[in-house]
Amino acid sequence: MRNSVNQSSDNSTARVLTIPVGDRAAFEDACVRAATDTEVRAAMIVLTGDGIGDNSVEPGMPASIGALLVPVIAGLSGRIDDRVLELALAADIRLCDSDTTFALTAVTESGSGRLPSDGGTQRLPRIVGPGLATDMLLTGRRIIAEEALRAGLVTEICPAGESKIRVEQLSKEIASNGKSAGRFAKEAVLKGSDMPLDQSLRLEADLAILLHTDPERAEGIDAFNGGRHPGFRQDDGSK
Amino acid sequence: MTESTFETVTYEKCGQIAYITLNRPEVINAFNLQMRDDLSEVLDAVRWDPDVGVVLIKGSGDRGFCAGADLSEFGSAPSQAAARHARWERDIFGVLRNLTVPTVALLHGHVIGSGVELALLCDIRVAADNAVFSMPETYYGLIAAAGGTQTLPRMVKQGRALDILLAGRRLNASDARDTGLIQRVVKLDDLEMESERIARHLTEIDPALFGAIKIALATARDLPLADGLAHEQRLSIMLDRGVAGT
Repeated sequence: MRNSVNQSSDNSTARVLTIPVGDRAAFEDACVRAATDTEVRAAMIVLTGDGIGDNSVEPGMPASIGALLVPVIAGLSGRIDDRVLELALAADIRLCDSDTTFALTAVTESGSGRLPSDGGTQRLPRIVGPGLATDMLLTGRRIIAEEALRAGLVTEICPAGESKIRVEQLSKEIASNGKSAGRFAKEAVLKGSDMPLDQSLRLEADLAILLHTDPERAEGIDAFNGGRHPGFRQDDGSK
Repeated sequence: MTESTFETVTYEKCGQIAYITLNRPEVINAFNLQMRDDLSEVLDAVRWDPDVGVVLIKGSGDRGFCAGADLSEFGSAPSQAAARHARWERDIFGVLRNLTVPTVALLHGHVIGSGVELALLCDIRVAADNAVFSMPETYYGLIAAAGGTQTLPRMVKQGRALDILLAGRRLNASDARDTGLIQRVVKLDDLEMESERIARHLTEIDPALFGAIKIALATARDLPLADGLAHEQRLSIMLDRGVAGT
């Protein structure tokens, strides 16, 4: 599959929604749009943690991201700690700069130990596995990008400073896929993971068959059989 | 050695080892309706054959194990209800997953879409060093429908599964092993020999014991720990009495 994307397509900005994190009202507005605007095919978040408090991410913000049906891609750099990490964990795919580090310090904070309450105890073990999640939670251990990659916390490490560009590329790439297909695939994985396998396979099959009503699916099949790229894609089509 | 040839699949038995070969090499063994029907017959034969001790699934030709679903037949169902009926009327993916003998997937070259899904329904996956894995369904406005959205995230970390399914990430053999999608990589020339070595080892496991292990692993995946531990105990007692795994 393709590794690069045309970045200069006017309409593609409507397909990828950037969710800003600095301002709470703007953040929530963007989340509402990501949830309601049917033209949005992917949402991206750029998080640069300073590691000295997580004021840029307020309580409840990770929940707003976690509720979205549209695929969410996060580009991470700096010190991704505590609530900033919890926000990143609410995204679907994460990539980072090579010098990014990750820690959950809430429990071990001197004098004010608290329970991470925006998904840290729930999403982290589901994403990296229970061993590393428990270690990070209880000891406050900081992990570096390579360990995050091995653990599945991120799926890509970019040269320092380039995650901002790469997250945009990857978001556009995902936004070029079938609109319902992307949402349904995400739903199948996330909702299915809470079910016994037999039930989750019914969910997948029902979503796949519901997708039969989608004109983009018909176009995708027609394009594949015709040896061309689907018309709904807005990229350079190389594959 | 006995051999049955179907239009799209070859079935051979050599002692306790059954070989199922996807046999449409001109289209990298793309999975079509005929292959579904042929596999259904073969899997039924395997299911009721007490002489089969292990099943090896492979793809014919140099180019790969399976290039995924044959989309030239997609959209042929008269309605969504009919498509849903057809999906469960002959659930060959469920039959493969629930076989009570061990299954081994031999993976080489292109392993795409339902090729990955078939592999994930097997107990053991052995890949040649030239294998390349991808699930490009969403690129074409589709989603995986042979269990891939469920079996993949149960085999690899959630973020990686989403990366493969949503971003179409392609993995070579060593990436796939590091990710946990497959567990063994061998030289292409050694693929058959190594897989047969594993198969012979698997035939040495008592069938009742294997059946119990398969049930126990499914329990580990689906039940709360306390229930899983209790179930494991029950299976162990039943095995001792000679009634488990049947």
